[in-house]
Amino acid sequence: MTDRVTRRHFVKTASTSATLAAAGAGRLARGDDSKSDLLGKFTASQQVPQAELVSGFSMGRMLLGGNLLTHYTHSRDLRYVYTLAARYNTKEKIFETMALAEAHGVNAVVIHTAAGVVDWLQEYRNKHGGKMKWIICPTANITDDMKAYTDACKMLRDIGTDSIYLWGVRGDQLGGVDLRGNRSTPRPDLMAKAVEAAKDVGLPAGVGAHRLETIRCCEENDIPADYYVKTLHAANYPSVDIGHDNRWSFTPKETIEFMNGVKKPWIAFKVMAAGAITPRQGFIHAFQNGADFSLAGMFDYEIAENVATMIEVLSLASVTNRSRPWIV
Amino acid sequence: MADTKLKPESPHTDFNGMPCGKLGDAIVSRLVFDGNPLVGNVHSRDLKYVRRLAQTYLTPECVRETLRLAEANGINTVLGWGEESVQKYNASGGKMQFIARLSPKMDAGRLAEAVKQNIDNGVIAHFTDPCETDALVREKGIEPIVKVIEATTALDFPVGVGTWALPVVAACEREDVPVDFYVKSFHADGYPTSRPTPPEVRDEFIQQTPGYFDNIWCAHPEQVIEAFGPITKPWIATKVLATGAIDARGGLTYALEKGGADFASVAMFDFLIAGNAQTVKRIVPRADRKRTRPWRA
Repeated sequence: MTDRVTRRHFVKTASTSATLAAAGAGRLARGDDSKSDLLGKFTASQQVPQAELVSGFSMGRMLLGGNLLTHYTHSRDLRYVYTLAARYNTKEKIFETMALAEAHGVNAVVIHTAAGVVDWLQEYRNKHGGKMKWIICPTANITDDMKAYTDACKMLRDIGTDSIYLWGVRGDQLGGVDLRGNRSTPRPDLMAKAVEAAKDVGLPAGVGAHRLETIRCCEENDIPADYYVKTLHAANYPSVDIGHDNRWSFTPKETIEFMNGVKKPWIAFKVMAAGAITPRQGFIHAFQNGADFSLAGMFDYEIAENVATMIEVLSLASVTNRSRPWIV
Repeated sequence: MADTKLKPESPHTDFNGMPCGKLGDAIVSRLVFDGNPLVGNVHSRDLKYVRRLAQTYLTPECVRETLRLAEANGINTVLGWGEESVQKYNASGGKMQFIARLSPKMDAGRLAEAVKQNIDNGVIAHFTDPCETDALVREKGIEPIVKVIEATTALDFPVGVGTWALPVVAACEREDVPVDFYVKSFHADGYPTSRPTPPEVRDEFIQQTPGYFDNIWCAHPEQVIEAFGPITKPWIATKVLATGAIDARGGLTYALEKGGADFASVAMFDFLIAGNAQTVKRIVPRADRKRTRPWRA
C-alpha cells in the first residue's frame, strides 16, 4: 500500500469515525449488553485460555487476525482469492465471525486502519453489543513532526481502541530493513515517538515487525514498547521461495534465539504463512518457540476447530517445557 | 440452439454475443465453463484454506446463479464437472450444455452403459478424464486409450481425449486414433508460483515432477503450440489462466490467438464471468487475423 493511498484511506475513515465518536460521546467506549442480539446467537464448548497482555488488559492467547476481514488474503499470485474472500466476508459475515470468535474466548482483534475498518468495528460494538477488544495499528505516515500519526492515535483512542501498535510495515522501515529487504538508516527516535504517541493518549503501546532488526532496534534503544507483534513461521512450505506475497518470517531461527532473551510479551503473527502451514503446525511452532499469544486469520467456519487445536497445542510437553518463559 | 446466429463468411456462430464453434453437431461457445468449482474443486497451490472457502461460498443458490450468469454472457457449455448442477439448472429453464468425462479405466460393457446414460442425459460430447488418461498412458502406453476411443466411436457420439501431457496427444496422432477432439491443458509460463518448478525439471506428466505443488498444468507451452499447429481436430484448451495466476486477457489471448486453441475452458466464480466473457468477445476478432492455426471447429 502506498503512503498516498494509506493517507487517503485514513482520512476517509478518520473523518467518519470522528463524527461517530462525537455523536456517541462516552457510550462508544464499550458494547452495550442490551444490544447483544448477535452475540446471543453463538455459544462455544471450548474457550482459549486468557492472559494479561499488560496489567489490566486480559485477552485470549489466540487473537483474531484482521487480514481476512479486510480481504488482504496474501494469496500469492491467485488473484481471484482476494475477491472470493471479499464476497464471502460481507460486513454481516464479519460481525458473525467476531461474535463467534468472542464466544470461543478469542476476544481481541488485531487490525490495521484499512478503509472502513473503524466504522464497522464501531458498528459491531455499538449496535450489536460486541466486546471484542481492538488492537489497532494506524497506517498513517510517521514523519519528524509526527502530526499525522499523533492525530491517528487520538482518533483511535476517541473511538474506543484498546491498544495501539506500530504497523509492522512502518516498524520495519524505521528499524532499518523494510519488508522487501531494502536497507536504510534506522530511526529509533521516530520509533520511540510512535510508541509515545500511543502512550500519550493513554493506551498500551506495541511495536509490530516482520524483520528481526526492528525488534533488535527497540531493545537496543530501550524503546518503551509494552509488547511486540512479530512474525514467526517456518520456511518449509512449497511457495516459500516464489518471491511474491509469500513470506513474512525471514529469519525464524534468529528470531527465536533473540526473543528468548526479550522480557516483553510477544504476539506472533503470520504463524501459518497466510495459509500454507496448517493451524496445528503453525501454533506448535509459535508457542514452543516462545510466543505468548498468536494471531490467526480465520473464516467463521474455522474458528471452533482452530480453538480446539490451540487448546491441545498449549498442553503439549514441547510447549509447556519451552525454553522461553511465558512472559504473561 | 434457438439463440445462435450464423455469421456469413465467419468461422463463428454467435450465442448471446459470444463467438461459438462446432463440436459434433453442437454449437459451443469459444469460452467454455470449466466445471471444477461447481463441485468444489479449486487449485490453490499450498493455500489449504481456499478450497473450503470456495465450497462454502458456492451454495446451491450461488451455483445456480453462476450458471445463469454464464449463459446470459454467452457461455453455453460446461466441461467435465458439475453435471448434476447443470441438470438442476436446466430443469429450472436453463439451456446449458455439458461435455462429460469418461473414465478410461472402465471395461467395454460399463463404458457403453456410461456413454448411453450420458447421451440420455443430454450431454453433447465425452472426453477421457485427464488424470486417469495420463496415469494409464504412463503405466501401459496409449493402447488402453485407443480401445476406449474405438469403443466409444462405435456408438457414433463425439469423443475426445483429455490430458495434461503432450505425449498423449502425440501418441494419438501417431497412431491415428479416431478421436474427435482433444482436451489439453495450455497456459503460459513465468507466473510466480511456477518459479519453483522451472521448465528444465518438468516432467511432461506434470504431476510427476518432484516438488509439484498444484502449480502447473502445461509443462512446455511452446511445444504444445508447435504440436497442435498441424492437428486438424478441435482443441479445447484447459487451465488457460493457470487456475488464477494469469490475468484473463493474457491467458485467453495466449490460448485463442497464439496457441491456436478452438475453445478456452476457464473455471469461474460468478464475479469473474462477465469480465472473462467480455474479454473473449473482444479478442476473437483479433485472433481471426493473427492466428496461424486455422479454427478447427
